Amino acid sequence: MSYYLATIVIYFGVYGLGALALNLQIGLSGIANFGFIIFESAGAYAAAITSIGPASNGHALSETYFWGINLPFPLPLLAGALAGGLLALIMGPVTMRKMRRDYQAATMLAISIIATQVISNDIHIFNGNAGLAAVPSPLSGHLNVSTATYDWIYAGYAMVLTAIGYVICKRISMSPFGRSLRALRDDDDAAASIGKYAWAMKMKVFVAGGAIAGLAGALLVQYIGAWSPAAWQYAETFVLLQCVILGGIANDKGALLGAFVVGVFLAEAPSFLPAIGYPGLINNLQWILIGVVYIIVLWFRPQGLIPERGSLRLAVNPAFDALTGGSDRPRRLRRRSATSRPGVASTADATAPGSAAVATTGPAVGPR
Amino acid sequence: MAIAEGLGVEKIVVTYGGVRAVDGVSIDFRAGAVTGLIGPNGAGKTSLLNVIAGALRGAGGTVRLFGEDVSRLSSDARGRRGILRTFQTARTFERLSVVDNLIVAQPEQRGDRLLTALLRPRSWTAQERAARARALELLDLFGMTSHAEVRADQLSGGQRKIVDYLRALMANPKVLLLDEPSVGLAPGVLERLSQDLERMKGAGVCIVLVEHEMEFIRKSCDHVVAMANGSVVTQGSFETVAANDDVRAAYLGRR
Amino acid sequence: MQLLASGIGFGIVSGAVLALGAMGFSLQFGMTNVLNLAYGSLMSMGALVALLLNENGVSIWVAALLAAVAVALTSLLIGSTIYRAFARRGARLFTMAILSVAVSLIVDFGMGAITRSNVYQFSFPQGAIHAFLGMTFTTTQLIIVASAAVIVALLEGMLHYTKLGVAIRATAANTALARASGIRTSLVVTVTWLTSGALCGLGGVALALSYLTVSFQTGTTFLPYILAAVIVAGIGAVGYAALSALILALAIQISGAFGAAEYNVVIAVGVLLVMLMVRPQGFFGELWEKVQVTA
Repeated sequence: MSYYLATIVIYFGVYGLGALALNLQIGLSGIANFGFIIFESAGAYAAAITSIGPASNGHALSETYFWGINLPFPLPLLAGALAGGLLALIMGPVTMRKMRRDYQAATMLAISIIATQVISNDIHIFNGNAGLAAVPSPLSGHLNVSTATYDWIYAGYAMVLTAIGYVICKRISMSPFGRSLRALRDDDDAAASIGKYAWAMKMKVFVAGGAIAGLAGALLVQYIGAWSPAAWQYAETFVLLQCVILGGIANDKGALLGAFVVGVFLAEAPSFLPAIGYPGLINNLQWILIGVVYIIVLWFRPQGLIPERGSLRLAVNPAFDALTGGSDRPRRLRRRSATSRPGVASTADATAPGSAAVATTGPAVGPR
Repeated sequence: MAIAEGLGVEKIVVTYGGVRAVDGVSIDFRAGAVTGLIGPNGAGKTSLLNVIAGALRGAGGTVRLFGEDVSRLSSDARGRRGILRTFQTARTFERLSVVDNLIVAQPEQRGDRLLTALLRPRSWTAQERAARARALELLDLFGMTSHAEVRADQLSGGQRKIVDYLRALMANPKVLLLDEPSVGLAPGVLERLSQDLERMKGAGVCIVLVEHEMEFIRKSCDHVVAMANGSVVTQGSFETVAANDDVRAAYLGRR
Repeated sequence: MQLLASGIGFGIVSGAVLALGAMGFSLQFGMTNVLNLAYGSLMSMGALVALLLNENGVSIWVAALLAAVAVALTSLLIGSTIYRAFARRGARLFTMAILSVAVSLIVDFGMGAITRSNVYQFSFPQGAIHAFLGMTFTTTQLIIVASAAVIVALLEGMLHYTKLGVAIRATAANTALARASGIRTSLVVTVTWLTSGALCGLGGVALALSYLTVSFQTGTTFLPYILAAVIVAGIGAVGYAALSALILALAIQISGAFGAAEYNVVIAVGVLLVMLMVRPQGFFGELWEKVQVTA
């Protein structure tokens, strides 16, 4: 049981990082990255080949190209992030152009499908369909602990990485840059008219999201020890997208909540159920359920559980200041909000239930 | 005829399919003045505006800002140079609050860069406060401070028009291209807009006003250019242009 | 030279399969403006229905017909319930794309559940081998190519020379105007879903007969090629979608004959990307300006 729990925590971390990154791209910036899973996969492969070690496993790539290197912790993890970011850097110039969002989505999906086909069919890269196995767990040689303890240490490590990912994404989204991204998402022509250079902004987010995705992939592969095309079919992107949509688009807390609900319950917990029907039935049913949940959420609550924030609301959100270390001390904050804009927070809350953690809920109109 | 002060367009050509929507138009727009651009539908006014804004690539001609040729610049580059515009159907950032709709337009924000946001999260808070205060002042000009935190998709059409306009102001325009700003505005609000144009004029901004509402043109414009069928018919004071036979013919449809 | 001939040969056959799928997609996309990513799943459905019927003794022609009907009805069901409901609500194009993926998951894994995720090896008699200008075709392949050609011709004829075809093209170009001129647009849309579904189903059957290895995922993995062919041709250019499908298939198979066989599929993505960079409305796109969803 303890093993199951540790595994679930780790999967929550992996899904959480993926959802945070995808939220940055789709939710915040309107980049229709339907091929997201290939970035996680790039990170997984990079972490695998930089840590697999010499050739006794018969892994062609690590023998030929990487001399069977076995880099110490945390380098394979960083290699994963680098691979994800690099892939985004390469794909960006072509895929981040101005185009219909559904076209962009379809193109990214097509890239994802074709990528799986290509990698599966070529033995020479990443060992084709069989994939890579015996990926070592970081520091397993140095820590003399039982498997169970190691799993829990890894779970803690995953949570640390997820927390870092959360801080990164929150700093980006709750900043003027994040606001500019959202403006770009909402109306790119109007954003251009006020001087926002779309392509550069989208490239930055695409690369940042790609790097975090690569990190997630590296985190996962170093735990489960193997990676093959079966692990990164195009449909995996849509588990993460559901985390984002159900949790709340353009909301980092929402991404984590979605990762918890969808990632843990929908995706991973059923594997611990006793097998019913034939083997694989539960898997098929899970996917059907994911499809159904999409339709339900998009119809009844498209903004998700924790909706997007309307404003940056720097001066009135103590939680925001705490997180970013806002420059004003609490005393100045209270005085400013008491005299100039009482109750200014509440109107947004009326249209976006549950979005604010603000205490002031006075009338909408006050003395100016 | 190009003056180095202000906005100048020379021999602008725009073609749609086989039609010349703008046929070799040259106009000088003085800084610190409001120039009205009138004409019946299809005269080419909005196309010309779009070319100046950089939203439309003309088939020929140049656009100069204070003597500098900006014809090759993209619309966002022109935005950064101070050419700001409003839209015929007001555009707002739907999922941002009204006040954020304005703050986002504040130029040169330190926090508007990924690395700064990531690595130095405290460095931009002072600028943000200043920008927010400025945005609220602008909203106050039109009595919309109480709507500051309302999400833009909750606004009425007239309110959107004002937000569209204020956003352009927030970006410190040198040139203000207004595309039918009066549509959907209540008379009281229109009056306030008129007063605000006076204020912007006094600040030296070059204002181009595309309009159908003649009273508004008469009151606000120092100079009026009348277009029809892609060309300039005549230009001058409002009285001169309004009395012109060709202008009347263009509006009433007689060839 | 032999390589070229065999490349062309394979290209023609896979081009025929792709053309059927591309035409159905283009027809529906041009009409509704919905990028229906569930189309691949429907193609799998066509393939599986025909395969399972035929393996149980039904003649392939009847099986193909039944498959086409099944997919046509499913396509109509999805279009007139789910897509229409969201379209009525004013859902944006991107939301419709996400929705179509959701539908695709339900259809794909629904079929997966029914077929127990089986990968079927279709054992359909391929018939005699015919040599022609250095290319070799089996009888089955020739029938597929001929049938596809006939269907393309019939569809193009219908679209350009019948009243129904005019109604379809008018509704696709401007639904409100078409309705105002007396065209029964909801009927036209229904016919479109049925026809594109039928084409999809037939494409699935052709896919099964050509590739012989069929699972519930076969259609979705074929989707990128359809997307490439359709986007190259342009929205609303149904006939040209078939042509670009043929050209794309030839390009892929010929390069596969000469070079790295695993990487020739990347051409589809390359074509897609280049098109979107250079001319996103496609070569013959007529309906580029549409932003509404018609469902």
